[in-house]
Amino acid sequence: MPEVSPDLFRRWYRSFEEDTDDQAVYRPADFPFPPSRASRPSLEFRPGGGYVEYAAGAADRATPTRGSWEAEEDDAVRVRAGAGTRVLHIVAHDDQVLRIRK
Amino acid sequence: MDTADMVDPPVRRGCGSEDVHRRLLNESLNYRLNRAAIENLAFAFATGEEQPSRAEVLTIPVVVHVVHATDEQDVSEEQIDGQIAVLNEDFRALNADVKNVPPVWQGLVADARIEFRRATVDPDGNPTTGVTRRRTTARSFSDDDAVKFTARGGADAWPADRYLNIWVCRLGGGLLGYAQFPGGPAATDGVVITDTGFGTTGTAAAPFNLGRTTTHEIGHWLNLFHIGGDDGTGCSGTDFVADTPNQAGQNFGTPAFPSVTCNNGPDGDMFMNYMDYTDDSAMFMFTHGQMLRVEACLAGPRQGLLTAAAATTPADG
Repeated sequence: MPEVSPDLFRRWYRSFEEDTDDQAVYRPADFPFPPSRASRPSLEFRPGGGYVEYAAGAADRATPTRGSWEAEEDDAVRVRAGAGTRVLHIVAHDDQVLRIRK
Repeated sequence: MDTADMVDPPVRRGCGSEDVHRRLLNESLNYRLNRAAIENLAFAFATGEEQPSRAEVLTIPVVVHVVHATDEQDVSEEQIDGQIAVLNEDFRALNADVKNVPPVWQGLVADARIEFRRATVDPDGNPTTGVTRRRTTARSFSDDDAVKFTARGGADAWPADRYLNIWVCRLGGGLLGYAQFPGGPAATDGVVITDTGFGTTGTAAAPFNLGRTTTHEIGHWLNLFHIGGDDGTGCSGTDFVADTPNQAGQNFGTPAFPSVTCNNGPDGDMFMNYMDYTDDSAMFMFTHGQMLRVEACLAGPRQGLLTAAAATTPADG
């Protein structure tokens, strides 16, 4: 089970510009992203197992899909959103950055 | 916007949360019914079954709610007036850069015959500058509508049937702005613009410092969709407008004409349309087809604006 600290419980926005070959990088809302008309994909972990994925919507706001998260072995977190389930491998996180294995 | 997906199932059964859940479900159902009626009317205008009958230019009273966490975000009167000046050019096709529309589409350039003015009378009938200001402890806002409620660190909306609400705040996640289509709840009706994408001076920063973010969001507020459709980069999505070419996804930056997608050559994407995603300097037109949707919107869900304008003389507006 990954060490989940309260820092994880926020909405994380994809910071494509910082991605590496094997890591997808996410940042909190206040990170100085370059401005865009398109909302960045984002995901949100909530205490108690709530999980939300946000995708671009029609009026420039994100469309949320709600689900749940649960910790699995090692760095794995199983997330469910809508009809889909997938396993995220959280390489590192603090209150400034979330790194997920690609 | 699919509000059904925004309903959080209650975590624990209880009178309060059950009531909230039921209210949201009902609102969601209302929204779906409203949207169906709005699109049916837009379709009637698009097919010619209904004809635009509006004789006068409509002037929409605007209230700008400036919700600031820093002195810098407390945008100046000049920045607000600069933004409204841009709207009064863009929605009358009086913008200087409209001459840059490629010759093949010059004939499609449309005057929306809508103008904007800071409200001079508040909802209680008192004189106003059309601007509300409040300090907030929120470092930034998201697209969750918190900025639209005083109790959540923002500012409550003015009645949506009489005013266009524009919230100016710092949006997180790099988002420039977002809107609510007609047919949604009045308490959240309007557009939200990040302060760095608002107006042409002060905190406005290139390449989004020509006021076009607000033009784009008001386009949504008047029921316009993105011209690329909202199907990602697919070719099957539509904006339900006949005279905008079918195109794949949204365009970014400052594309060069022509930019061909979805077999739409030789002219390609109409990336200079306000409802694309290009930089402020690269978007400068609405089309006649888009204006049919706007006319349907004003004849339907936003007819209160026409009624209010007819009941108000310019002198006391």
